Amino acid sequence: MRRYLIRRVAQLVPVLLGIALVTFLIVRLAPGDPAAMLVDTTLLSREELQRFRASLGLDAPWPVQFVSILKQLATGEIHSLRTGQPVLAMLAERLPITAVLLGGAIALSLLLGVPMGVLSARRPYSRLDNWLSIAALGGISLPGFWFGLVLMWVFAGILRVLPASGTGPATSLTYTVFDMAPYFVMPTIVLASGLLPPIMRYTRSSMLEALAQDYVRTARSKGLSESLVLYRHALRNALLPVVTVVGLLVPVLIGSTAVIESVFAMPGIGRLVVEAALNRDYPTIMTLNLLTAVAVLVSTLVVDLLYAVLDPRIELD
Amino acid sequence: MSERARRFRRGWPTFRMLPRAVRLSLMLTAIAVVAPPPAWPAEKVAVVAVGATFINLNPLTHIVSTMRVMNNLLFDGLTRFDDDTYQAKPDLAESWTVSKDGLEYVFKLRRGVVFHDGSPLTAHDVKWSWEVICHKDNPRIADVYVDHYVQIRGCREFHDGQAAGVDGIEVVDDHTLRVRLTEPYAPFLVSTAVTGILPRAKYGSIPVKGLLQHPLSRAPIGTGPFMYVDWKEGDRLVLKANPRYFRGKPKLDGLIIRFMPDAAARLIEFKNGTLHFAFFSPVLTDDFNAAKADAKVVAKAYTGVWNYFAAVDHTNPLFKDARVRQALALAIDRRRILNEQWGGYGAIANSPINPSLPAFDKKVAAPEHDPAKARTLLAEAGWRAGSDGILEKDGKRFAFSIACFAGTSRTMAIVYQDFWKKLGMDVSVDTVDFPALWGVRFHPGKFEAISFLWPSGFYPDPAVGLYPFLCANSRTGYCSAEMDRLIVAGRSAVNPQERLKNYARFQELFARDMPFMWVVSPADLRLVSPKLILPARGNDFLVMKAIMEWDLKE
Amino acid sequence: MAERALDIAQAMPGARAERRGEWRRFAANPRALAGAVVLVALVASALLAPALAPYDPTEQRPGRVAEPPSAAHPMGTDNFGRDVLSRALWGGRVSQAIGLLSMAVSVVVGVVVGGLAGFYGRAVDGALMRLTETVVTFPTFFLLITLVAVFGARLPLLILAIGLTSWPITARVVRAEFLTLREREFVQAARALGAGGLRTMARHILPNVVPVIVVAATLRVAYVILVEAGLSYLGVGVPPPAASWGSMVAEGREYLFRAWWISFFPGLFIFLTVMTYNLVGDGLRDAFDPQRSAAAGAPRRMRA
Repeated sequence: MRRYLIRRVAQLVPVLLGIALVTFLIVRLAPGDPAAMLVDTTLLSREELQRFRASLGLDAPWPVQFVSILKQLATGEIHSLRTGQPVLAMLAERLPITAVLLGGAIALSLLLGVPMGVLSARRPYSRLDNWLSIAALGGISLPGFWFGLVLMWVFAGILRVLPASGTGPATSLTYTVFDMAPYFVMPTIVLASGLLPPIMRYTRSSMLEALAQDYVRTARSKGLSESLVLYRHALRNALLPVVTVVGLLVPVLIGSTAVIESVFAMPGIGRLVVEAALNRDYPTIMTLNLLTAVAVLVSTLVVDLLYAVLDPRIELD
Repeated sequence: MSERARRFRRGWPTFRMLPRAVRLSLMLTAIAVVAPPPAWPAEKVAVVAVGATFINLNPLTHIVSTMRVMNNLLFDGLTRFDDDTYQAKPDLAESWTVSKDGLEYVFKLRRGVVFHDGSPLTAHDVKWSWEVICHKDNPRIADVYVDHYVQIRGCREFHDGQAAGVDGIEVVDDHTLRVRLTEPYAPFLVSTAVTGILPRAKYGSIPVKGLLQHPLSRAPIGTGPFMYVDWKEGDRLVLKANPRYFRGKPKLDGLIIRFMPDAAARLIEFKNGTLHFAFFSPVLTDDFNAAKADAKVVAKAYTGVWNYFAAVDHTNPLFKDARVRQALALAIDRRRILNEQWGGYGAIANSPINPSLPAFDKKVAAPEHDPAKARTLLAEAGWRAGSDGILEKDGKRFAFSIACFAGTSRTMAIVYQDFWKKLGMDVSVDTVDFPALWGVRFHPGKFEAISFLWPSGFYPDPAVGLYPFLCANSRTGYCSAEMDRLIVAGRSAVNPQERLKNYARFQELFARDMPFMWVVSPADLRLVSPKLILPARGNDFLVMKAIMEWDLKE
Repeated sequence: MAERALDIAQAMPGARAERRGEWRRFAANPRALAGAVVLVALVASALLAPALAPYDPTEQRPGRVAEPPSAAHPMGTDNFGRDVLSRALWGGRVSQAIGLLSMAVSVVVGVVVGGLAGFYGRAVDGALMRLTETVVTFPTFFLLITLVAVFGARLPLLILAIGLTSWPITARVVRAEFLTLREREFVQAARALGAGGLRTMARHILPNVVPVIVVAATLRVAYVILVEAGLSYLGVGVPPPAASWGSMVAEGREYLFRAWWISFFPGLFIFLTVMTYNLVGDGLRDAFDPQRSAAAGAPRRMRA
């Protein structure tokens, strides 16, 4: 196990370096001088402009810049080109919002998706199953930004029961977690709309398979109640692939936060990526891309380990 | 069989069939969602929205338009600009004297002024703050340096690294400062002396190069009426009233500035009573008109700060002929744009100087909408319709693109495209992001036509916004010695009548040559909560400046 | 490792013989049939947009700004006075074309990578799968945003970028198919008779893999259209004046509470198009392998 872990972590390094290199190249190759965004370059004399660019580290040859960026990333001393703020501090400020969104969406999708999948498996090809699977298809076909806008229009514009955007009320200098809850409802629903259908479908299919297994027939013949059979025996085994699906969809989910946070004006990581890209804030862009990749790689590793731990039949390489 | 199992067998889902844990979590979530938010606290906190974030809260390292507002909330300068008389009024300096030749100023600082951390203000803080602007490692504020500070004796030498300090700024004693200039500079008191002052004790040890990144630039210490409490980037900036402010404590207890770029969301918050004001945040004309009839929100139209214009590259052979440029200007129906895009609120723009300033020349008129005359001019210049309907001359088609950035710049570009297409030109719209547009594209040879806007209303003094019309800084390739002379004369004349005459002639020349083709100066439509008592001012920038007069009804 | 388990699951074992009757099965599936009909209608409307659109999509009609749906304008007009229905039809050309082209890039790369990996196995497989994993772990949407925001939105760049970041799923599916088919008798026979690697792949395996590719391609179009719409909504997608559905939704955002139709209808088109591609893709998958549809592709536990 330990060797496997070490090997997996070691494999992370070239992947991360590759991502760092690609993001670095993309931003450096881009047209438009990041310096020009921060200062009116026509006002500066040539030496002043040189000095400014040097102060930002923009005049060194590319390999040198890359190495210096890597050093900054390694020590954490990396600052946004636009605001001067340490990128890690910016991330820390915004991470809770995105984390709550993601956590809420995953929780909601599991809480509703698994039971719905079980129900479908209980009566496969029934009318209920049919409608649920059409709904699932609809869910993954929804453009998140459109769905979000429609929800906003209905619930914030017409019915006025939910706030349109933002993360919290502005009624006082501080506010509590409970105040923030209504602001997260619609974004979480939109985010979950992409995750719930796959969870439901995989639960259904693995439940169907589990239910066909011998041990289920044994349990049934022993006279155990239906729900006990369902929830205690079949579901436990059927959940493993579902966990895998969640793990695999995490990168896509994280990407979706960019759109959803923009629609609902929530200052989270996804929105930060969009803003940083539009502002050519390349230190921020690189840090975000790398950290997201790390998060995804770690979650994949966790899923694999969970899989191995929960199912003794699996051997790790 | 149990009731539950029976229902389960039938295949109908019910709430009770879900596992207990799931039911519990769903119920808790429902409660959290439906529970009403807490009531307003007893303290008077005004909530203001802004559409664009401020990058940094250090007046010595960053000036973007939203920062100017922050300047007034958190910091003070030696003088402040009086919007009624267009003169400088005492701020941190309680009095000053100017020598006859306009080269020497002696300021007497107010006594008893303290910074937000309790330390007293002295002339050393002023000298240090001004030196930071002259410092070579502070290029972000280059325009301020070039325009307002380079006239201070010794600033240029300090900037070039030839001196250890600016010898033109002399600390006579803790409350007296003498400043010497190299040449008379009329806007000195209203432009140079208004910069926010920071405490040298706290900021002095930070190298100027690292000032921007230092945490103190995001959690600043100034002398202003409001103090920093908290800032969640992209979300809100929380300020509280400064009880030791030298003009007295503000009527408000606190101010929350929320970053809300979305007009629809702002409207909803106004209606819900959770937003009091929004500055630099346009309101759709439909919403504005509806608000006029709505008791829950007050609609106010202010003189616009932004002038929209179209410009062409004067070095491009397509546009070299003055008749072609005139034709382009005549093709635009300004009245219709004002009515359709802005509901008729505002004025047709015809000058780089804002209508609210005395230097604005009312007599200079914008070109009338006359597409027939435009076509005649184009024909005179040799352009005839080709077989595909597009104008051509000597085998060359009249095809070009309008560069713009996302937002109203693009909206206007699409509108201009429509007008110019009707003249028989092949026009496309090229949207780039703002840094690429301002930094790279908007230079001679790098664009063909451009749709842009000019913030003429920010500057208390007309001199400040005119630098790009000088030959050296020309963005459009337009260069006129006469215009250069008028701009410089207007800036350096000390006699106000003299300045006005120069500016009048400048505006005449501008209207004739059209380096920029002004289109409209839309009114700034704003919404205000009826609970907020706002001082009456000409635009929202000035309203924010008068923060001391703000109050909230109980 | 867990992904590999899912790969096998998504594979569709079954030689040609088992696939007979697939079109009949497809036609018998009401959802798939309905989806196919609507999809054909949508694609046709995009192709025929110049003929179908009642107005010029770029014509700004003064005085008719932001009008609600009416007889003259069934989907209303936008903030410039342009007819929303016409714009939506023309926007379909852009969105669907980008979708199909990006899918083509994605499928080509996916088939090549998956085929090589599945057929040659071992080292080649290992290396290619490492590459696939890297692309999957990439926060691809973020990368796309960065790419397009920074280089400027140009159609070829957009199509290539979307295509090059969405091929892993196709690769995995193709690879799984190749892995299973490689062990089949007819393949063994061909190789015993001396057929070379590439020849075997092209002549014997590839034709059997075509159904898998078709299904994957259909489903990829759905995914790619959503990605392009998302990018366009954020402002880093299709550059103006070519308007795609996503950018139309973004334009109408400001007017959401006053003129909801500007955002609503283009978005509805996206939803319907993607949904029908998904329906057809699912239907094809069920039609090509009824056995699998019964077991519903539950992932098998596999040795890593």
